[in-house]
Order: sequence, then structure tokens, then C-alpha cells
Amino acid sequence: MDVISKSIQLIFSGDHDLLQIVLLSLRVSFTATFIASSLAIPFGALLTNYDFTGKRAIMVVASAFMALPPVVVGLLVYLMLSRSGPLGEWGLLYTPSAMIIAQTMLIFPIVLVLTVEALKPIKRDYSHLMNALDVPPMLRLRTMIWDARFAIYTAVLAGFGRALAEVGAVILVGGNINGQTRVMTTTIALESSKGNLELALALGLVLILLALIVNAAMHGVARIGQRYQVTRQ
Amino acid sequence: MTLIVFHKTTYDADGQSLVGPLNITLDATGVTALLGHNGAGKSLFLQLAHGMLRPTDGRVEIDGQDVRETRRSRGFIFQNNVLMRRSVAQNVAFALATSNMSASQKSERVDELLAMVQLRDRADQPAALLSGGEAQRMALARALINEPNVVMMDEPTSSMDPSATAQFEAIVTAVKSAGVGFIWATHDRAQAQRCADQVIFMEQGKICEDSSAEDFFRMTRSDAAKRYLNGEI
Repeated sequence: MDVISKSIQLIFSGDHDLLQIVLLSLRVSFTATFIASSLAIPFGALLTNYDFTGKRAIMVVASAFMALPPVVVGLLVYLMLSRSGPLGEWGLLYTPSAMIIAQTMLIFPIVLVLTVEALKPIKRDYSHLMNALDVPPMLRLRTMIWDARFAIYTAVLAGFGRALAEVGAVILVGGNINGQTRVMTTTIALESSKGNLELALALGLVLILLALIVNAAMHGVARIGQRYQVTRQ
Repeated sequence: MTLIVFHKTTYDADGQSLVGPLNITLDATGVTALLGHNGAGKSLFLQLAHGMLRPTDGRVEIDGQDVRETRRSRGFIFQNNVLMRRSVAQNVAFALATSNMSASQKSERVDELLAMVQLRDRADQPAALLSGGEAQRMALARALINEPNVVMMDEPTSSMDPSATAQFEAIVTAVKSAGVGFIWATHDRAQAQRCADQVIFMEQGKICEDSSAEDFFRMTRSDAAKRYLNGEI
């Protein structure tokens, strides 16, 4: 009980280290989610709207990558960014940028697959109307994305939740350097192993609170979306 | 007068001839009822006449122009209505997405059409909340918003109750008197008698009879049409 009350005190004391870790976690996860979503949503719309050779293979790989162990992604990014790797010259290893790259790779397949699933029923429902109205291709894609936006917001939030809770990849490519690349999950792992349970638990509580907020947002968005969902045939 | 001309038009799928060859000049003024049993080719005929379906061979012209190139200026109402995941007003306005009208002109036009189909009070509600009859009236507003000369309707009242059907027919009759033509596929012979000026009867993808409604119901010539009217097919 003493640990719990101390960790709660730590949260409300405005501890500088704790705040820095939380803010870095949010910055890395927000940026990775933004980049992954900016790429995955339009790509998902193209995949849904057009048939081409290899489309099925892309979807199979993307679905498989949804369950990819983060530590493997971390290792791949590590190998790319390490001094002897192809992108070693960029000098990004053990920086927040490396963590953003790893998280982007982790989130991209999640947002992509969920976006395609969100767009499929829209494509099925709208294709005749779009064809009848001779809607230009770009407007078709924009319309589909807009009308599936509530399901796509949920996909983005799912990606953000995954990024925030991820530990294996960011610890490999970020190095868990104090004041530079230490995020909530990696700090919890480190501090609990050192026996500093107050900080670990305080960060754990913040993480749980953020997870609750993300999930509440997902439910709220899905509920709004249901108002526009066609249930009658 | 709006003339739709089918020049040796055929439509095949999976190596099977589904429609044609059709050689017909159709005056699409007034209401033309398209009759025939299931699978006779009525829906394909409508889609070819509208331009949303590319013929396998031959061509279809409206007032001398290829229907494919001008299809945006014609309306189409589907049997299974397409309800976009938007409000009723936004569903109707979508047909103006490629128009050069200003936002205020579009809004005025939508308001005018919703008033005509008696849905002005539902304008801001999600279209998914409309009843079957209301949804088809919304589709009629969407089909009319680009001021078409002719609107194709594929069994629009098949899932409506008698009162909703009567309301729909009354609106179509009023629009017809303003100079808009309708090609209306229906299984309801009484409806064809009530509303149609001309009748086209189809059997196995071909046109068996093309005459005024009065002649069709008074002195049917083809055996297929006689059997259809007697309820034998």
C-alpha cells in the first residue's frame, strides 16, 4: 500500500523525470501513429478500390505483420540503422527517431488491415452509385475514406494503443538512455528490475489511464459511427 | 423529345449472351415501363441505357451522344437503394460533388429537391434512419438533382407498402409533367397500367414488344408477353 500511495504522490507531484518520460512516450507514439496512418489509410483505400496482381499477397503479409513480435521489428530497424547497416550514416540509432521508425513499422500493418476492413463494406455499398454518377477516382477514394472515418479512427487509435504499450522494439533501437530515449514501458522494465517500484508503478498507472482513454475514445467513435451505419437492406 | 438509340448492342458475361443484340430507338419522354420476368434482362437494359454499364458490343446513344460519356447527367434509382453513411441532405448533395455550383446554390437545390420528395424535415438525420419508402424518395431526389432528361428506375417500389408506393408514384407523375422521362423496370403490372405511357417487354435479353401502354394492355401481340400478362411466366 505504501508503494501505491507513493507512486500516486509521484504522479501528482509533477516530478520532472516522470513528466519527461510520459511526454517522450506520447511524442514518439503520436508521431509514429501519424506517419503510419498517413501512409496506411490512402494505401488501404487504393487496395480496397483497385484489383491488381499481388494485392492478395500484400494483404496476407500485412495481416501476418499485425502479429509480428515487436522485438523482431526492433532487430530489423537496429540492423538497418546500426553503423554497419545500410542507413547507418544517418546516425539515428539510440535516438527518438529510431524509436519512431520502429513503431511506425509496427503500426503500419495494423492501420492498413483495419482500414481495408473498414472500407470493404463501403466499397460494396457504394460502387454502383459511384459508377452511375461517374465519380472521378480521387473523389471516390476521398468519399470512401470520409464515410468510413469512424471505423478508421478506431484503426488509428488501435495503432496508437499498440505503440504506447510497446517495449521490445523501442528498447532495442532506443537503448533506454536516461533523459533521451527512455519511455514509459522501457522505464517500467528497468526501474522494476532495480527495485524502484514507486516510479515503475506511477508510470504503470499513467499507462493504464492512457489505455483507458484510448479505449473510451474507440468506443465513443464507434458509437457515433453506428448512427450512420446502414443496417437495413 | 429524348431519344435513346441502341445500335446492335449486346452484353455478355462469362461467355454467355445476357442481352441483345438490341436495335431499338426509344423515345424516353414520359414513363416507359420495362416489363419481363426475373432474368429477362431488364436491369441490364437499364444500366446500358443509363451508361453505367459498358456494352460488350455495339453502342448506346442518347440524343446522338454516347451514353457512357454523359451518364453523370442522368439519374438512376437502384432496387436496393444506396444509402451513403451521411445525412439525408448530404446523400442528395453528393450527386452535385462534381458540379461547378457554389455551396449556397447546392444547398438551395438540395433543399428544393428534399421539399419536393417531402423529406425536408429529415434533411439532417442519418440516411440509415429512413424507412424503405423514404429512402427511395431520397434516391429520387438524388437522381433528379442534376436536372436529368431521363431517370432509370430499377424496381424502386418493390419493397414499399401500398401507401408509400402511391406517394412515390404521385411524385414521379408530378416530375414527369415537368418534362422528365422515366424508364421504370417493374413487376407490378397494375403499376405499369397506372403510370406508364409506353411499355417495353423483354424476354431472354431481347425486346419482344415495344408499344404504347394502352396498346400493350389492350392487344398484346407477342406470345411471351401474353403468357406474362396471364401469369404463366
